Amino acid sequence: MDIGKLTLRAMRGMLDRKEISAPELTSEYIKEAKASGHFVTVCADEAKAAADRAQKIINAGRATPLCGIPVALTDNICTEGIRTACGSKTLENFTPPYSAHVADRLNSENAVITGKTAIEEFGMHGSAHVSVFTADCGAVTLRPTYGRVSRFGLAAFASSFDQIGTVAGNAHDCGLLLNSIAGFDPQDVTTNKKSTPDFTAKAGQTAKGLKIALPKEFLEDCPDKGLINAVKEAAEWFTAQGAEVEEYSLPTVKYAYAAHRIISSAEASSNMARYDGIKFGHRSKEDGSFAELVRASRAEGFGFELKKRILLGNFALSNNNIQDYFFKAMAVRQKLREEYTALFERFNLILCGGCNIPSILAGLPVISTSGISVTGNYWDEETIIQAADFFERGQES
Amino acid sequence: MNYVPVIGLEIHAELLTKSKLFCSCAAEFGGERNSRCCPGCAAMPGTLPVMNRAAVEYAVLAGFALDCSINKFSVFDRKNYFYPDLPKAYQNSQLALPLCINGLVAIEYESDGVKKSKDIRINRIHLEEDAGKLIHDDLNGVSLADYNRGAIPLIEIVTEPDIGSAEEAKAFVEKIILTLQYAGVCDCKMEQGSLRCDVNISIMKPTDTKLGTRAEIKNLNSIKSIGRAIEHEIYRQSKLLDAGKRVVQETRRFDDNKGETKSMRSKENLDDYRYFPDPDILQVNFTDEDLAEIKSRLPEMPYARLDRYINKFGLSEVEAKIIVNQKRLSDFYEDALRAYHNPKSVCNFITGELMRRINLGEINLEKLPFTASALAKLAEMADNEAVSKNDAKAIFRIMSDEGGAPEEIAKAKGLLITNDTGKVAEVIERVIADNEKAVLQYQGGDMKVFGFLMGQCSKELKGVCTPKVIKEELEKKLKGA
Repeated sequence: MDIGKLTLRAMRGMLDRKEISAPELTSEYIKEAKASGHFVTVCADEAKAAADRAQKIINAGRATPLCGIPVALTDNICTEGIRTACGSKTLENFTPPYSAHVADRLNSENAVITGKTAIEEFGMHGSAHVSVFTADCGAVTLRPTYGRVSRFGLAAFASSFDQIGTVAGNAHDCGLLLNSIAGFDPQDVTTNKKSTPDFTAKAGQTAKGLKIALPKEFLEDCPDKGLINAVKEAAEWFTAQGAEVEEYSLPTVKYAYAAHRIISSAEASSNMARYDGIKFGHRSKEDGSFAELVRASRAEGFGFELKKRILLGNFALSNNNIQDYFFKAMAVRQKLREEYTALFERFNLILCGGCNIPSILAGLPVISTSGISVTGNYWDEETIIQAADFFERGQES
Repeated sequence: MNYVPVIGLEIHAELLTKSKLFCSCAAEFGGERNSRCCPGCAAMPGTLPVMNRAAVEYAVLAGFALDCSINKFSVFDRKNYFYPDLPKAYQNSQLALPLCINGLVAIEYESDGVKKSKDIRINRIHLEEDAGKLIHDDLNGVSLADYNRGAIPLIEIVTEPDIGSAEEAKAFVEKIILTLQYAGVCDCKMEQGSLRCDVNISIMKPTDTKLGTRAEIKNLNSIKSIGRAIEHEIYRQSKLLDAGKRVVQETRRFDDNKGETKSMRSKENLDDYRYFPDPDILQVNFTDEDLAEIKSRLPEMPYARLDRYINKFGLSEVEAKIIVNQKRLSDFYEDALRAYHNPKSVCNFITGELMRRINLGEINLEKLPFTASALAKLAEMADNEAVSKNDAKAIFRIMSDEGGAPEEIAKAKGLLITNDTGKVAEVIERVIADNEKAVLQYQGGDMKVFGFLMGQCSKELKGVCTPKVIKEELEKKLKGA
């Protein structure tokens, strides 16, 4: 059995029909996890215990959608009693005494947490593309609207960008996963109080009648011609399927990359400052004054790329620069949000490719699948899942 | 040369909320080290702030109490700096849009025996978090951090540079303390650090138009040291300028033992705190209704109470001020009046006997051995002549020493006046009969013997009636006899 190819719904069916037990499924996954090289921590014992609990619930006929399904968390999501190193030397021995909201939610749904996957230091570029390996192995990534999923227990990198998303084999499964982690959490005041819909409600529908915007700036400025062609082909396909596709200009997009880098670095410089070696995390053996201890601990604990981001962030926030850099970037972000809001008065979706920095800067939901990405309006994850699911099915046939 | 001092104050006041600013840890003074700490207090990864609404409302109450305008839209910033008492390495504070702005505080003070008054402008009041405490263990050469105090909500009250002397500064801080205590937002215990004061001070020639270079004296923890630090700093800066030297912009601390300020660090290179709006904290948006509702919670302020005591109760200004200027005393007075509403006689007991014993250090207002209603009862008994005025004082002494209810003390000591008229008549008649000679002398116009007769009666009538009654009855009998 090629376990990696199973969809979440297929697994659900097999578990419910008792074609496989939760402990068997988990043990297959633990084997894969160990062999993959992508896991920094494999929780074999915890997963086994969780699978046993899940099986009892399945046997009792009370299984919820994720009951007994193996799930992995990136290693910047805190798990009580399980090392959470955030891909950084500074936290290499950090075991949190609390769990992230999403980990609690998955546990309460009796999903089986198999372990923690490798990330770049503090998920630095997580906001741009979940990680390279997910794209390599054909995974689909769903980044929901900022504020849709609680950040409590997610080690902060850039607070106003950090957003837990889901990665699965297809759009529908991404939606199922999102169903079980989304929603208001009093521990994160930036989560939205709206009740959460069934994000897969529109999966299975066609693209007929969808109004899709094709960003002019992407078609004109993207250096990757292959990517442009893939998006154009997808646009033609959607048109053929009854969607209305139209080119649309978002003039502020050309400043989005710089604004994203400035604001995220500024926030990161502040968020990373707590790793000073005083309370927890890596502490240098070099003896000296407080300033010397902090300097040595951070010099040893952080990687080169992260240090660059911290320096850039401090530069953008310093007295002489904050007006020209940070606040200008904030103004760009506001302008961009307004342009997007105007766009979504006429369109349901934006079809694009590659990284989705402008959408992320604006806090919009994005799904990446089969070489394209689809951005939706605020709080409208259902429609991007609909389009992505329809596109995936079109690719298969 | 004489210089004009220009002084501004920054007052930090810890708010009396039950929990800290961002979590549910208790916001109390002291406690076992690091016992009031959670992962958020230690800034562990993934923890997030959840703003304590009560702290925001207390800060607004303080703003109303100090005549500020309240910003309906307010933002929380991060002030970034490394220090071991600051776990996140940033302090949540407010820079551009604080909760309260443009307040006004009227002060009264005495200078060279002359009563003066002045208005001091408040620039802003913002809400921020306190830092932890460091304990330096010199013996072992280590410093330890205690985060119990970390993230306790704090308001910072910043004045305009309107203060011109140590007297004015002291009067201002006293007024702030009284106002915050009445508003119920801070207990203002300077000795415990729940209210701390920084002084910004420069001096200039009377003819100068430009302000001098200022020094900042940090963390003054008593009214007295605020006054002394200012006096010394004026002296120090004057001597520098007289000698043709210049004042350096720097942070100084006050050495209480030596009565001198000392340099801590130079501020020639201004610190860069890289303030920016905290993406984890929601902006505050008040409606007019919100603000009206908060304002309606403001209790009676000292000036209103003073006015009521003088104009409704008929207390003298001196009496009224003695009571009002100590919130606890004033609350005690209010409680006593609820038990016996005679403002004047309860006031007499408080400003007289009670204050005397407090001033002698025999009793402490914070833990009196008797209740306000017991004191009220005693005043009532004296007013109703159930005990004599002198005996009332004796009873008060016993209450101060041992506690207890005044009726029971009076009964046990036989001080209750029974007003047994039969007994009075009987004793007077007997005294008259036994002292024929003296009676004749009195009736012959020798008034001096009245005192002797009076004394004879009083001896036997102790606890039966007041001397006034004895005197009236005795005179009546002597004239009739």
